[in-house]
Amino acid sequence: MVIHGGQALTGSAVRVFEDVAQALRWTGPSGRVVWCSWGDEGSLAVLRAAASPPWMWIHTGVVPRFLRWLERGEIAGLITVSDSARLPSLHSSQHRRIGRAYNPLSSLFAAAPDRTGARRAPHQLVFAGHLGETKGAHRVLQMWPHVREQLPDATLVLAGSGRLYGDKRPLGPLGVADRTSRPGSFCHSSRGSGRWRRAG
Amino acid sequence: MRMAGLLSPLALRDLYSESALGVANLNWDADTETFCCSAVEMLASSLPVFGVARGALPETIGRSGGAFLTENPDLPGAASELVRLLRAPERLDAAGRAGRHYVLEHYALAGSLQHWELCSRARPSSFTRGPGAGPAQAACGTGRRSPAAGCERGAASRPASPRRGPSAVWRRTAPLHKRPPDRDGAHAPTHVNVRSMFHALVACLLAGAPVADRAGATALIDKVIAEYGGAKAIASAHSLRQKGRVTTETRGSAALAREFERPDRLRVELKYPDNTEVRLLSGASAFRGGQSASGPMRDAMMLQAARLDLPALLNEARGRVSDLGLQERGGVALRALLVPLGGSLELTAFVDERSGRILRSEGSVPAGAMGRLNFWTNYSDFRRVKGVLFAFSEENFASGTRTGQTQLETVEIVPALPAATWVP
Repeated sequence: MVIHGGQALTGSAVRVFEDVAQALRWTGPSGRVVWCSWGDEGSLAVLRAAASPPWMWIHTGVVPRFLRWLERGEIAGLITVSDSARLPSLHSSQHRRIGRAYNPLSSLFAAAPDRTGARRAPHQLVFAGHLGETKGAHRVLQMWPHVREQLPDATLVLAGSGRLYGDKRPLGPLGVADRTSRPGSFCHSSRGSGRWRRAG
Repeated sequence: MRMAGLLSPLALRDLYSESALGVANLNWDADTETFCCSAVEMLASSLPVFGVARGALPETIGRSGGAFLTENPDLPGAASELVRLLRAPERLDAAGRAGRHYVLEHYALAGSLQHWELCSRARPSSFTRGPGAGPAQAACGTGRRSPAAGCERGAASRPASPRRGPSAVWRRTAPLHKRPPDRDGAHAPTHVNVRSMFHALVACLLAGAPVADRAGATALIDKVIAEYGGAKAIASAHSLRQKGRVTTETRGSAALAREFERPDRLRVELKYPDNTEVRLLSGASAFRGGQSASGPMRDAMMLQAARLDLPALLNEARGRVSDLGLQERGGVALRALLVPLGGSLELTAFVDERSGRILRSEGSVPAGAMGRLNFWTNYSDFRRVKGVLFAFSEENFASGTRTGQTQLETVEIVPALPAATWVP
């Protein structure tokens, strides 16, 4: 398995290669490549040159470009992480080569002690992940004043970063989104614009 | 409010362990969430999750018992709901317990590894044998089911279970369904016939599948038929013309013209501001936008036609209907009656025992590699037309995601529909 663009997984049974060509040499002619990528066409070209169409394992939705690759035979199959993600691609003539495999639970969390009934900070909320629009971080921040109005001792911990998916994303001073100054004072400009603006 | 920044998985686990409630994706502007690892990890830490019923969240955590998913894009309302939850620690505790149990069972690493291992053993030739011979299907063909992968084989090769009755013909016709691949990945077109029905029945009996509560189901079907206007009136409503509006989550609002003729003809025309989409089903043939449609797209149309004819379908297929008992949907206990449609299609009507009305239907179609797609419809706004009861409002979901709302304005029972209706 090649995890292209992935970080080194120390202590993991997964072998990580520096580049696709190196992985292809290791897998040999009968090997399979699972290409977990956001669409890096450079590595796809390497795989194409090696006549080794990979399975593409995606964690986003199925975008038209991926479907084109599938329909042209440049990838052998698409594996999504939920039925919801593959649903819009049903119209593709290659829909039968679009599968779904749920993400497995990290072993660290699977082995977590059962904390059911344990003492917790009673009014503490936690949000984790990419601090951006796609994950609704802006909605959490917009909602927060309404929560505090009703429950003044409520606390919110935001774990994550606006740069979780890449270090070139423009961020504001809080590292949440661009064009922002303080939480609770901005809103989403319009559907799908992907940008923020100040309220009022 | 504290910005904790990027945390190690262990630190994140500790944070979850000390918090009262997790907040998952709150993006109700778009279906951008495709899984939500953080929500699953929160649940694994016995931390219940609050989020929106958008994207994949209803599918991945919506049934866990540990998730509170709001459907309304209303910030003050969501905040009030959050506060209510925070003030109910016993409720959160129970949800955390249920959520942990669910994710440990459904997203176990072992299940996922098993699936990938099966995929890795699939022969490359499986990729090119024909439609449906995808990598994961080849893996499914080894005969084992991976829970994490949702790897399900078709009805023809599935072991019988309480939810699976013997397969039967799709109404009075036999559509050309493609059977899921055999163990070696090969495919063959399948006409569902008496022989296959016999084999399915034998398999069902050998597997010890419970016999449906025929008497109970029959009594309930009688009540349904009476509520919908009686067998004679329902039989007379064999050709329908319906008009209304469809509001979809992805494409906005469209004028709807829907025509249905029993048993398996359906034409749906959706006029959006910028274009018109026509879906047509005529027997085993299906078309979308004038192009031939196959696979899940055609199966979904077949399901839609069956849904439109549910009372009559229950009446006709009463000998084959399986009573699945009371099941809770939306906080209401409804009686589930499974109607086998033939091939790999199935449809379950959820009946309110008191009124005899069908308040919900759930259907599923095979969708190629690793699994089935589920379609749900909630019915309301019941009105009578020439003595026959129709639901004028339908709320539609696909694999847990709300796809749209259909509001009928007129329903017309006509003697027949012009032959041109069924021309692509």
